[in-house]
Amino acid sequence: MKLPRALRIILNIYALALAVILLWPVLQMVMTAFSTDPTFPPQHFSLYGFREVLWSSFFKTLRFSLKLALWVSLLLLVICLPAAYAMERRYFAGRSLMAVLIFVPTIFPAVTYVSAIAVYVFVFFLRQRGSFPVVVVATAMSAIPLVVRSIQASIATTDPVYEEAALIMGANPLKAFAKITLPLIAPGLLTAAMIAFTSATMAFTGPQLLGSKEQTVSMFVYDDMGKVGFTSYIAVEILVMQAVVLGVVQTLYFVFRKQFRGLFV
Amino acid sequence: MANVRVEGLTKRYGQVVAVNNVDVEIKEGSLTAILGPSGCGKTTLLRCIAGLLTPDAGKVFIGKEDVTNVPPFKRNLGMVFQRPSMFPHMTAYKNIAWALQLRGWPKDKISSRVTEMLKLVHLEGMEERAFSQLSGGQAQRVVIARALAPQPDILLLDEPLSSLDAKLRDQLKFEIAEIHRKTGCTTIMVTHDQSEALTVANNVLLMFEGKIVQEGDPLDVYRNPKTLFSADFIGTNNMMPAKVVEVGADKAIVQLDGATTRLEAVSFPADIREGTPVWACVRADDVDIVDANERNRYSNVAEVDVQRSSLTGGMVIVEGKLKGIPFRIHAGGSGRFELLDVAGSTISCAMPNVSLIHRDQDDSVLKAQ
Repeated sequence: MKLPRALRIILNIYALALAVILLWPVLQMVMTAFSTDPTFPPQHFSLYGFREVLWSSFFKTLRFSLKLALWVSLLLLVICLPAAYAMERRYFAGRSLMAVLIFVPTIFPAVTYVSAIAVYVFVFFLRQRGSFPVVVVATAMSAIPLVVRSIQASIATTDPVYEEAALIMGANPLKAFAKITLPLIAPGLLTAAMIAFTSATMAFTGPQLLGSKEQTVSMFVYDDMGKVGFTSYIAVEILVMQAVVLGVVQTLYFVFRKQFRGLFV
Repeated sequence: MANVRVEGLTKRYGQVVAVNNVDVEIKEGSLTAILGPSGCGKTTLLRCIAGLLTPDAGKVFIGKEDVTNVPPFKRNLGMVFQRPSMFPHMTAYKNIAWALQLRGWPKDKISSRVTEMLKLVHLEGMEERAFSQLSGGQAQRVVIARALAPQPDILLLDEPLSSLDAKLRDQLKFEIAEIHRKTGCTTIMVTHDQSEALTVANNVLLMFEGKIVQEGDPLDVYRNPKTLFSADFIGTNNMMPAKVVEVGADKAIVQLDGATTRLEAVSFPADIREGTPVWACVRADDVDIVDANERNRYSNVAEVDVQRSSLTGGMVIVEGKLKGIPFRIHAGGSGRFELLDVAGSTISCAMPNVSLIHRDQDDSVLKAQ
């Protein structure tokens, strides 16, 4: 369909304006990170913010967030893969009910759900409260619906005929799953792992509410901002945090892609 | 290699009975086609034999062993599916080699066996190709090679050609027959395509509504339908209501209802008597158009008033009425083009092969088709 020239120009300007509005905060943050003050246009180029970050406990909290995210991701894959497989490929009593129940965490605002878990931990696991395993499990819980859904979607798009072919060829169900289904759903697992990882690195109030002795990077940046306002120092923290998370996720993507080449389009 | 025996097999999906108390024996070394329309239960029967479905009742034997409760991975089968099933994350070589590894073949024998199998399916030199680098027909050939490589007792083919285009389908069906001739592996092929079944198989099981309605070699099933469904499903049959007037040892004479025309039938049920109402069946491609002056030289000659004739390429379809009954002729041969301008005239037709089936059968199958 060919649109009139004037309409095309208006649509192009609209798309451009939308992109600028969405990207502006990111650009402003990058500009601020390399100057002395949050102004537009930036007045003085400076690496002052970077020097300050190096001296703070920022990297300690970033390391904690990454460690938390790694364990949360692994735990989520282990929990969600069998659940997603069962919900997609097996017919059992209560399957429909489970499909609904598994989405319960998404109907609450994130903080409400984490608070509910915190209360639960306080009542039943008071002695373990604040320990790393409890923080990992509790952080993972709120991401379960998204991760299950993501894996389930990728199982749904993988034809069960491959698994049946493997069974006929002489592979037992476990071997058929490991050698055939698992590699075929690898792209979906990767997406799920990325969702799990990013959501866990961004964990904000959750670990604190659960009594974690260590602070997450999001909470650290939030605290800093409360103390000093939005300065170039804060901009650097956000920039480094994003770069590290994206870097890890991208590395994960390339490793998987290399491992299962041919499956990624 | 082994035979397959199914005893009283029933499989239901909720209220629907997909396979209804089927008894059948498939001979060792045969290539048997299970033929029938969509939803007749043929794939369900095959999947019960494969172990991918558990029957609600009945037993499946492979050789002498009762395998009803044996899981598919312990049945020593090969299977080719309707949908593409070559593993997309493995090369052609690995697809076949994995089948051998799973059956515990020694490493040094795997390579030569894979090469041998690729040669059998005309894919030499394509060992390292992945699914995305092969055409649909080539990928299906890899699956056939993969199924046959570990020398299974039974090869199961579930509509193996239906996802391919017409020309390739035509080519591959002859290849399947050739592969069967070379390997001698007991093969069961499910298909809804009668030409595929009649061309490839040496034994045909005709299925309808969960039951096997006729079994025999392709020529027998084609020429001597035993039920209304067989007559109607395979080929194009002219079904004329008639009554038996005389029964002999090797022929029966019938008279068409509402007419004086009498026909001699060579194939008929053993239990017909004088007066039995029957369908006189004449295949549309089993009709000879004869010169009216020489009609005495032929048996079963009748006049057909032609309404229209049309060309389909390989044959000319002539449609008209024989004593008021709709009648169709599929004419081949070099003289067929002369039939393109016979509309409105009357032609004499000789029908050398008339078969009879009982008319008291439920004729809803005719409407269902």
